[in-house]
Amino acid sequence: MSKELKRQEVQDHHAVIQAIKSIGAIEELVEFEAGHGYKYAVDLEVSIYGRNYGPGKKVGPYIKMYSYPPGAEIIREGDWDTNTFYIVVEGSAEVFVKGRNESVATVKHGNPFGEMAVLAGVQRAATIKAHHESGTKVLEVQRPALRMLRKLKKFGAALDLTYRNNGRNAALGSLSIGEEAKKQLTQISEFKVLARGHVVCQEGRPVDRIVIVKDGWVKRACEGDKKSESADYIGSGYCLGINALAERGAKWAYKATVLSRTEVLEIPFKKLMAYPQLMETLKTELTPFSTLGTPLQPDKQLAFAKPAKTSQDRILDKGLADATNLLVMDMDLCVRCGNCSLACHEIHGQARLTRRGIHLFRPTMPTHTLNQSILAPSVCLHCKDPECMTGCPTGAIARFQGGQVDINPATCIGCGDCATQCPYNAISLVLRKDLRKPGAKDSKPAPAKAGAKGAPAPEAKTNVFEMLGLAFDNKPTPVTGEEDLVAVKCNLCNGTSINPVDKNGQKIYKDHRYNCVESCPTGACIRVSPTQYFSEIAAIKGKAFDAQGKTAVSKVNYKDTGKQITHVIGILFTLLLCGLTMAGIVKYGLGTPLLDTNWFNFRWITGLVGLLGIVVVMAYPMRRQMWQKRSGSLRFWMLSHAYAGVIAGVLLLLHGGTSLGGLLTASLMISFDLVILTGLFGILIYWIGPRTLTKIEGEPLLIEDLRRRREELYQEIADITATCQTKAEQQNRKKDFEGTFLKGRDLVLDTITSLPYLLRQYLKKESVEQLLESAQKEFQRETNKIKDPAERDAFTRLVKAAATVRRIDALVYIHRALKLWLPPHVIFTSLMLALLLVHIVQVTYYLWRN
Amino acid sequence: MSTEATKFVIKRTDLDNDDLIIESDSLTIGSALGNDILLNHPTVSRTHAGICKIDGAYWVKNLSTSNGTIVNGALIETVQLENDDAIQVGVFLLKPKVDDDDGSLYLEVEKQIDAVSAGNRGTQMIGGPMQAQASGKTAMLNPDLLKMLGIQLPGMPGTPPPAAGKGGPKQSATQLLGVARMQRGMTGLLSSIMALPQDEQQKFQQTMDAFWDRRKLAETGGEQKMADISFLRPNKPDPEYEKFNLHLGKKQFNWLPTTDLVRPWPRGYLGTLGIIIILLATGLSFGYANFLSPGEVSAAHQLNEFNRQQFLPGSKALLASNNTVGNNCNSCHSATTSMEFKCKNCHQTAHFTPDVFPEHAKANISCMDCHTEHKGRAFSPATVARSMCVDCHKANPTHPKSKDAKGNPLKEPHGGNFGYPIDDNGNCFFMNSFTGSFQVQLPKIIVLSVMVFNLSTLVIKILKKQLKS
Repeated sequence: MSKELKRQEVQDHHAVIQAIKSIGAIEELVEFEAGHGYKYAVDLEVSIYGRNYGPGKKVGPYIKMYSYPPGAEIIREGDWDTNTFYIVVEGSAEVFVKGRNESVATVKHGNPFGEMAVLAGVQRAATIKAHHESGTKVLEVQRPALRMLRKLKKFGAALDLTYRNNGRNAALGSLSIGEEAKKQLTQISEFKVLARGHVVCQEGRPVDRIVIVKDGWVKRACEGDKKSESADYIGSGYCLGINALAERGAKWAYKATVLSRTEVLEIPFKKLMAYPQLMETLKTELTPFSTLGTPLQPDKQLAFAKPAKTSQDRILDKGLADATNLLVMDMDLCVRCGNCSLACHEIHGQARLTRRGIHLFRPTMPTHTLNQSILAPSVCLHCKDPECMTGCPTGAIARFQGGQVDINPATCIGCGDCATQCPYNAISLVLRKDLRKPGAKDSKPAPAKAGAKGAPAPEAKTNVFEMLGLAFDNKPTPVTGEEDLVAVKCNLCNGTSINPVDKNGQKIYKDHRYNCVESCPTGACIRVSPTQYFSEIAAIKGKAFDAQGKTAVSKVNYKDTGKQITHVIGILFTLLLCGLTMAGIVKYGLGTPLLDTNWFNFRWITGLVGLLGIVVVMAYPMRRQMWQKRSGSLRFWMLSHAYAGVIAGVLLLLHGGTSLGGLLTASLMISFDLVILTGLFGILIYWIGPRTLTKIEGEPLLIEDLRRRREELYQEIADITATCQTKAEQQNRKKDFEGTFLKGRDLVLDTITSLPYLLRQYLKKESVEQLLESAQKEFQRETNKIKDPAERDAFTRLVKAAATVRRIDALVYIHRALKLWLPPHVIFTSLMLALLLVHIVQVTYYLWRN
Repeated sequence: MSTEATKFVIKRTDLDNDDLIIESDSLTIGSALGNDILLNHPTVSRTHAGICKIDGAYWVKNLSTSNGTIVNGALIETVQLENDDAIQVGVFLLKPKVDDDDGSLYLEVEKQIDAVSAGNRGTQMIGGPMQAQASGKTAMLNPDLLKMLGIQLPGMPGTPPPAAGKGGPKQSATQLLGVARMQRGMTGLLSSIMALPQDEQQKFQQTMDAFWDRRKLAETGGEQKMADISFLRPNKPDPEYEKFNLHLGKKQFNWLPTTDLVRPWPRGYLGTLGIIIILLATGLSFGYANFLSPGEVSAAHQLNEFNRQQFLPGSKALLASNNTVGNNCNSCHSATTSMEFKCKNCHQTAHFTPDVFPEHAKANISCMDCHTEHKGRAFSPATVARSMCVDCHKANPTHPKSKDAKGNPLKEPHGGNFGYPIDDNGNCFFMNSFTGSFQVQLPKIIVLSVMVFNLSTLVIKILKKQLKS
């Protein structure tokens, strides 16, 4: 855009007020009541002047006036700038759409444009330019002001009407019925947006309308029975009450409640009566898509086994189905390494992903039992209807390019409203100075200065281990202040170095990468579209809006084909290389020179190929140090690491032949064998560990949580004993107490802290509940010996606490085993590599100097 | 007395939803997910307030201990609702209206810019707190405190209200609210429930207690959802966070690290350990040669002090150089000269010229091609060289240098007869490389029969020995 087409802000606040006055729809904002002052004094102040709540905490002004020169572009089609809309004050604006050169419409004085993109959070639908002759003066209104303007009767009503009309047209447009019927439905149907908890219909009342679910989820339940037994769930594309078309005076057979923000199209019967033709059309065209049955006798496609229903309930109740981009972890594969969190930390400066969150058991197929343990960690879901955006006073949190919800740090004032509102704990507040500048590659934010201002910084401790890099990293310090904060959240790695953009802001790579997913070594962590990934949720979507009769469920394959292919290639390579080498050695011998040389023999072949294998193996730790760049999914690296390790292991064993050689080669071989053994143990524990964990842990927890809980339980056991003892002493039952309670406690602790009881956790694989129950039964005799009922209760609690401690032990051991093999693996690797280097130098040197 | 099931219609002006219709006997308002009206804002408690219908009238009860519920500008505990009251829950303003037809309650929820303006508007709508107080709805403010703050109130409690909408100290409404806040918890709160007889009050209180149960339920996540919360989850936050009060208030949204952010192994392992080991290995290669050696060298080459007598007793040969190899790599391997040269440097005697045959030299065969080393202490390079001969001097030899001067492959020597020239101290003679005696190749049958004979005599020898012992 050339310079002359730049817009100019009209700084005069009075002119802005005058402009607002001149626009009928919003003139109420400046309504003046004699003796009272402005009716919306505060709103007006924030809108036009802005309010300063402290340094860096200015809110507003929300409404600014700009004048655009003729032909200047105000908004551009396809942009994701969904934070502002405009009202024409002077002149007019012209609307352009893609593919047409002349303007398709003009926006005249007093009319708004761009507000639908703000409301719905979608891309701009058209390009709007200032009038080519007269230019335009517009009010630019920011999203937070929309909330205030909607309180104004005229503006609110107009906005509401537009919104409903748009919604209705969109819904009707994709409904699978004839054009004529659509036209008539435009007259009589109503578009509604319903909130969670809304009662759509009450069981037993006459059906007075047809409700077509456009988007969202509805729960149906029959009051007559136990709610949990008969409740079922339906999604978009189904019509409620369609059976009343065939059966006059039908009654609702169920109570239907809305589960999350749901868009519906309602057709009241009263109005429909006037169109008998339309009734017939609806009956014939919609019924095939809407055979629902009742919750007690659901239609075949809505009949699910209990496990699927449990899963549906959990997914819909927690709102996971309304995510546009959901991060899920398959806990059977998750080796609890935390690399996802670390990757997030490395690319953003502060991790926005915590491996705590919503856990659910689900059937991998709707007919299966609950056989998959899924964790949706605390990270943004990029909800369809983001709760966090409703409260932001500055409009800093919005949808950005690509549709992701993100926070603009420049306008964020760190009020924390969005964090409060997020039901998933996905937004956190960090110090503004710690925030990484976009594009900065600095992997570590400046070390936080300790303590409050003025407090002396603690003396830097010189630690030899730290200096040599042998000490473990320190855990980053939590944000402790309350001032100068800014909110951060997952932005799907947009604008980071793994999704680089060129000078024009266009993505360099077509595909989008997420650092957490890229950094998962096993492929447990994936980003999915919930309505496709959760087959039990996909199955409750109807086909009413599937105009072409296509299946509603698009076939996105969430099977990890990349991993499978890598496995196949890996196995083939291993067999081929090892087999060929062995055959070669059998045929030619290890030391026989080949190819007319006097030195090139199978010892060299095995050595060199083995070395190549080691190079491939060592590429993995190199890759693990790369957080900022696109470098291939870690799970492929992991597999190639394992396979190359196996190949190198076999070849180098052959390379050694039968003699160990000197001390160097002997220690090299031993350290190499140790690397391979620890690696094989790693593979084994990575295979067994998570699968055992998911069976016995229930909700996946971090090891630090488990340890904390164990401390709590130890404390609880001590507390219970102490309380009961004091009480018994007060009641002069000391002897009795010692004979029953204390003896029983010692027995419980002895039994439970024994090794067999630990092994039992792994072998029996009971759930926590089963374990507690069986522990209680096991010590029933000891419990019964105690006469005082309160004491007996306390003893039962003690037994439970002790059993839980052992379960936690069992879990902690697996967690540790999953990590414990790694330091020896790495230490022996460094040993092996150094010796290898000496060996290679020696061998080449003496070959050259022979 | 009990609550009645009724219909609540909630209009949210802050959201673009349609009216929310809830059919229930009680309605809870708060920021936690389980509430009927979810008002998500820091100024709203998790379960903030509740509304229920008792005997055909709607009552609102405060359930928040930290934020308080304000009706018509005053903090309340339990009051009866009337049309167009202003219920203030945090920054939200709720305006109730009872539908005359079906007795349902219509609630309009409006979000204010901030708490101050919410209070401001709440009081303005009903024409000042005094008016509300007069109608018996709001708290009585402590007159002393008001005086202290310099606020003048027209009229006394109980006197008829001033004409609605006109006059009244509207400018001071904010101040009044501030006073009310300060008073809370100090003077106790009056509400219209107090106007009821004692026993009635108690009954009310019992009915209202249902809200507390709901609140408990909401906070534990509801009865059905209890199972979702793992028994293994810690109850208390990390003590480290308690130190900074990070579990309280707004700070609970501060960024917190987990141990996931600690790398699984220190990155210095590779570099530091690698360098240490390389230094160690290099040092060892100088101080302890066997470290690098692929195998022990022969006994002669291990001697520190060269003692000819020890390994070649009776030999008249004198080596040209009295250098000791002494298991030192550099004695043979050198960066500056070839190993061939090093060999010749020592093994030059009056009787022995360490040159290879011209034929061998032509074929580029050097000393080490036959006299191998690093095969152990007992291994003699001199002797073994004889066995090396057969590697080349046979049909289909395996050794890469086994070609004659013209480049043709070697053949079985002497037409297949065993025996090779051995040059010992300059004396050349033929000797079978295995038995040390000259042998003419015999037909295979004879060889076999000799072998059988030899074997049988061996067996007989052994048997004899056995019998003797």
